Amino acid sequence: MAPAKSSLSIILTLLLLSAGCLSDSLDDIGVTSTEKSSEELVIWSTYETDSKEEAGFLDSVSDWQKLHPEVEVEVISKPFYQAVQAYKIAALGGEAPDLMRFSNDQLGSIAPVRDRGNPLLEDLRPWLTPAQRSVWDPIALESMRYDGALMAIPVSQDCVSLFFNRALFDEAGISYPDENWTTADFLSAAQEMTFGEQVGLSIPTKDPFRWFSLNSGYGGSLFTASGEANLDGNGSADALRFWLDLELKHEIVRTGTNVETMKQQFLSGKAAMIIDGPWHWPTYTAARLDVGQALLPIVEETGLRMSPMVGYKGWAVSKQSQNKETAISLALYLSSSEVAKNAALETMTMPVLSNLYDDQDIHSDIALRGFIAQARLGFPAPTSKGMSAIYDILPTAIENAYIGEMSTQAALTAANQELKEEMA
Amino acid sequence: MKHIFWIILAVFLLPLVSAQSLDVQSDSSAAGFKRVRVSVEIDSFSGNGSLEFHVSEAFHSSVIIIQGQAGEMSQPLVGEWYDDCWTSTDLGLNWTEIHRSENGQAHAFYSTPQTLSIRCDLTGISQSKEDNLSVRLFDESRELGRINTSIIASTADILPPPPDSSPVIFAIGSIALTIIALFGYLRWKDRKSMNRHGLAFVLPAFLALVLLSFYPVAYGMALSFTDAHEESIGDEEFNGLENYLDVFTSGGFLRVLFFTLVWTFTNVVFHVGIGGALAMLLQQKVRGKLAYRTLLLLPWAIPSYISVLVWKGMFHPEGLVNVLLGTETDFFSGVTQAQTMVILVNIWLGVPFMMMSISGALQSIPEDLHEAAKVEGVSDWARLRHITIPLLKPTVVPLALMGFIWTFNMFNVIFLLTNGGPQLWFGEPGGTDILITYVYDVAFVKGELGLAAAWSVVIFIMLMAFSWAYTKGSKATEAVV
Amino acid sequence: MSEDLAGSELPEMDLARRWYIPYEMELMRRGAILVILICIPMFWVASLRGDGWQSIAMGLAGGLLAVWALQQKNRDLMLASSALILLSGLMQAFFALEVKVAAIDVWYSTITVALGGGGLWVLSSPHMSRWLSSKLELEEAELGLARNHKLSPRWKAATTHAILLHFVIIVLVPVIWIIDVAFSPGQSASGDLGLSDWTITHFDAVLSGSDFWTWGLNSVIVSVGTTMVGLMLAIPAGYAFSRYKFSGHGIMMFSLLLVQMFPGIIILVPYFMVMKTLGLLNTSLGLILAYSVTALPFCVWMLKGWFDTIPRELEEAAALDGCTTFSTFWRIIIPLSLPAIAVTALFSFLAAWNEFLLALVFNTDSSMYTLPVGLASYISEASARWGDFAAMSLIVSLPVVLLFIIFQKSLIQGLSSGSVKG
Repeated sequence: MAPAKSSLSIILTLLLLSAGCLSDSLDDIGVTSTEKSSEELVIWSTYETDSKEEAGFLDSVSDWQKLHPEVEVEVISKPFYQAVQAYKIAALGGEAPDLMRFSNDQLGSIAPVRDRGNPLLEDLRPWLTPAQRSVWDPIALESMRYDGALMAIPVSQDCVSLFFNRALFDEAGISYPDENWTTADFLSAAQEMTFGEQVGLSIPTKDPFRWFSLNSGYGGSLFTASGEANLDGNGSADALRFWLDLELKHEIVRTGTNVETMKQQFLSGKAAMIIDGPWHWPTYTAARLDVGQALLPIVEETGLRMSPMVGYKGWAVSKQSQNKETAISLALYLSSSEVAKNAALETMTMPVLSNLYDDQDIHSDIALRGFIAQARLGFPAPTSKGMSAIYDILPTAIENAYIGEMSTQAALTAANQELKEEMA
Repeated sequence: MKHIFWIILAVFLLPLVSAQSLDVQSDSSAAGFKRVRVSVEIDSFSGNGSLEFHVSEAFHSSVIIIQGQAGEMSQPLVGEWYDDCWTSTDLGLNWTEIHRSENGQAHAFYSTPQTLSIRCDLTGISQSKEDNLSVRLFDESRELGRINTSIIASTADILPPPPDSSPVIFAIGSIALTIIALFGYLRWKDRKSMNRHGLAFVLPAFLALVLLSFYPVAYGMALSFTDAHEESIGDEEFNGLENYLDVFTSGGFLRVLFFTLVWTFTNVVFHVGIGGALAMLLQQKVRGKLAYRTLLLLPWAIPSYISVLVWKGMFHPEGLVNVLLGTETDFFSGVTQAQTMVILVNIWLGVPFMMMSISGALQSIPEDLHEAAKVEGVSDWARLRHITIPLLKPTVVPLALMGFIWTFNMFNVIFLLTNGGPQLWFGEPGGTDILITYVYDVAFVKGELGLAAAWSVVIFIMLMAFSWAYTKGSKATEAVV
Repeated sequence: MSEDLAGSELPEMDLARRWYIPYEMELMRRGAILVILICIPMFWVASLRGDGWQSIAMGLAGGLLAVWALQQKNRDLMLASSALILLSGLMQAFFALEVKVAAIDVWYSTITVALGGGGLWVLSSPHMSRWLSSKLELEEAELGLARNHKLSPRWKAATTHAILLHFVIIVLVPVIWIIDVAFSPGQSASGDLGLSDWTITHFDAVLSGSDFWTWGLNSVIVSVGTTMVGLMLAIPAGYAFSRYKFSGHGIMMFSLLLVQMFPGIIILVPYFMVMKTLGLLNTSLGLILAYSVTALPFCVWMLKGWFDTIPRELEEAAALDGCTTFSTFWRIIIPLSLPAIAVTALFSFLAAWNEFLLALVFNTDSSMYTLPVGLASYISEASARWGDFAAMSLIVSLPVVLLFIIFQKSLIQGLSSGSVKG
């Protein structure tokens, strides 16, 4: 014992001394970077302009700034759809923002890009302690990883579910959708409520994102378990057929419906049901619509429930950033418990923190509870190069099937072939 | 007295004596950026317990220590999360990766009580200031000991270098110097005449022209022989004629070329035709001619991107056009229909300019010619065919050529209206893509800059060939006329 | 009919029929052609609706029959064709009333009913029936001729007005719509035109938001910069090309022309790479440089043309007075050329102000957007803000349209002289 004790004290002393020396020499070399005088952070916000989400986000940023008055934060708003392209170009030109919010399927297209061998996004793995990592839902954390590297700090998740206009259901005398609804109930209700100016169901027919839920309901999946392309797998053709028939055969959905017109129809009370996500929920409630939310129905033919793709959003730090420490500190704040809970209650942004899943306040909000329940029944969006390619490839297949140029099976097979080539 | 002293000392020292011996060493640079490698030597541990790391008063991570076999637990690869841990049972000579449970919790297994060493890379350690690290050892019931020390990570972060602009600056510099030298030479050549003054006046403009026009064109041509890609700028490699091969063998090449030609010819014919007809109508003596002319100018005066987007909104299935026509069509579904609509919008845009140009030319035809013809009893149609049209030719022919080139490269209409239209082919141009919109797609959506450069060169050559043939042809017909 | 009457009727009436054709015939011919023409778009509309082609077919048949009948001067056929046209218009009206009355149905029915009814009315006049059955008196024919002369210009003007009016409507419909959308609440692109709920919220939002001012400032900086750089380079160059025949004169003029013919496409990708390497992406300077070069050839041409018209005696006189080349240029020539410079400047400014493609590619940062790219960004698949877009469009277009209208003559002259001579 005695020798150990003395060696302990010696080691302690030595460590203390060496620590002092080390920091001196580090200062000499100048490895210690960031000056704390006045830092500037540039953030690209991809929230919809004038949305509640954006307002909440800006509030959180200014709250953080009050805690860190030496940092200047500049928030630049970018439209969500152009954001990825703009980021690539900015990063390649040395002008990337310090922080940017990505959805995990977008990460698949940014992460592989190399600027003379350097990636565009900072690998956040060395920055977080295991304790910090443990607060998030492991699925969410995993979705932010590409090729092993952690590309973003998860902040929220979202997926579509069924929204319906209670008033229109009451008028038609149909009972509200519940968790036992099948696609047969769904279809008949939609048909009954389609007359004159009104539509029973409004969906953007040519947009693949909402179709994914139907695809999984028919037993299809975008990728096989080993990550290979599987667009023409089991049930996908039937799913696409059902989807297109809603407009082409049953004439429930109006021609040329896209996300924008779907939203307008629902807002003006002309659509009884839509498939949409929590990002638009505050808009609908603000318009004083009596809107209800339900789980997506069970597919009659297969007995499987329609399972939407759950997208995860996170804050990514640019590899070129001069202020990574501060940027990460802000990102951690934005994904912290307090901010996430507020966002959830105010703007229906579903949290990804494990402790918030069972939070009382969140559970007391029926809509939030419904969204979380739907997300639990969804499948996580793959963060792979193939996923971002799917968004380019599928619309072509849908277009071909839509105008009848190819059958749904042929269209999906062709798309799958193309996807395989893209992923190779 | 002495005994009491020793008892008191013993009481104080007992915890130390029976304390687990813990030995902590840290290495600031072995683990990498933002990481510190901490080695802990635990002396004579027995049973189960855990080792906790606390950094800056906050819990960091822990390793569960279990006496026994690892069983089915996996040993993940190093670098999974950079929080790798190793165990050693021979005082650090050999390290083996730690085991982790399904949720990632590290488990150290050992079999017999001996010196157990655990080495962990701690992530998230500050690079700029020291954090204090507290290493605490627990057995199943209580804390056995702790060591506090300071750590700081020291491996530097690698920031990507800023873009290297020296080759371009070098090229620009050398070109500029060459031009200036050339001008110097020309000035010397003209030293005897007054004309040399002109050179100084022209130099800035010509320099700008060469640097900002010829140089990029040459650069573009060079680019077309490389595999330049948006995602790997700086790593272009020469790949010969591969891009050109891709252009000519690509699935939609003929289709997009065909539509571009159809688009251009149809537009120019209608522009000149309708524009000319309107110009002639406006020649008549009608009241309110000025008002008509001003109103008919609007499509040219309003910025084209605004007009195009306005038409886009009007063509919506629930938009004004459908309301006026009493239909509910999506005008841009279906390839032929989309192509027709796109051409119609461009006709709307382009007629006023032609109308005004031809109107100007019409006004320069002397009235006497028409008067004389009317007196002779020549009919209106004959007058048109034999007087007006031949006299318009010198204006209309170059005008049509200009219109051809402008329409050939009319990006705004297609891009804003349909963005290439019904996309029915995988990885090929869309239904309403013309060459320039497809090149934009290839260059800035798919990012294949080398391939796009090759397409550009092909288009350029086609245009040059056409202009040359057209000019030759129109001069020939002029000679005949 | 004429063969039967050959020997029996008075030869004067035959003659009358030969050298006098009532103007009504011409009108009916034009009417028939008009009917045939309007049936074409109506067939297209019917194909979109999938229904209602019968009435259009009737109208087309009536029009074709009318043309043939007019040639044959056959009264019965003419009556039949007019009746067909009238009926088709009525049928279309009924069809529309049954389903939905759309503006185009109103247009078609009005024209066909008017023309068909008019044809019937004209054919029923005694003058016409007499002429058609060759029973016309000579005096009547002469009166008719005089009437023709009086009517012809009036109807010609009427036709011109009718045609021009149609074109004006086609031009104005989008303008009216965008004005309506700018003042109507909501952000949708609906086709309901209504004055009742007009509001200025969109204008308010646009003017108080930062988008318009940021993008406007960018556009102003870029356009003014382009104009200034273009003029600074082009004025001396135009002067030199006009006055001096130095070595290389021809080649340089040719290269200017060549550059003007370069489509933007050939320089787009290399420009992008050069700009990126030099760090000029997302800057105003990058765009100014890119635009200046496209404006340069045109400016040089225009100014050269102008300088060509200034007599050389002016400079010779100045030289005699002891002015150097440069001071002659600066003190005499330029002040004289201010109108031409102004027009050139205006054209450069407008070209840069309205440019879309290069701005789209180079300035992808939304704080560096110019107005065209910014405005276009309001309209996207997922969220189209039509109300704001319309308001901003009106604000942006109004000055541009006014400038165009005021300076239309000069702009046309400049354009045609600049390029035709090439």
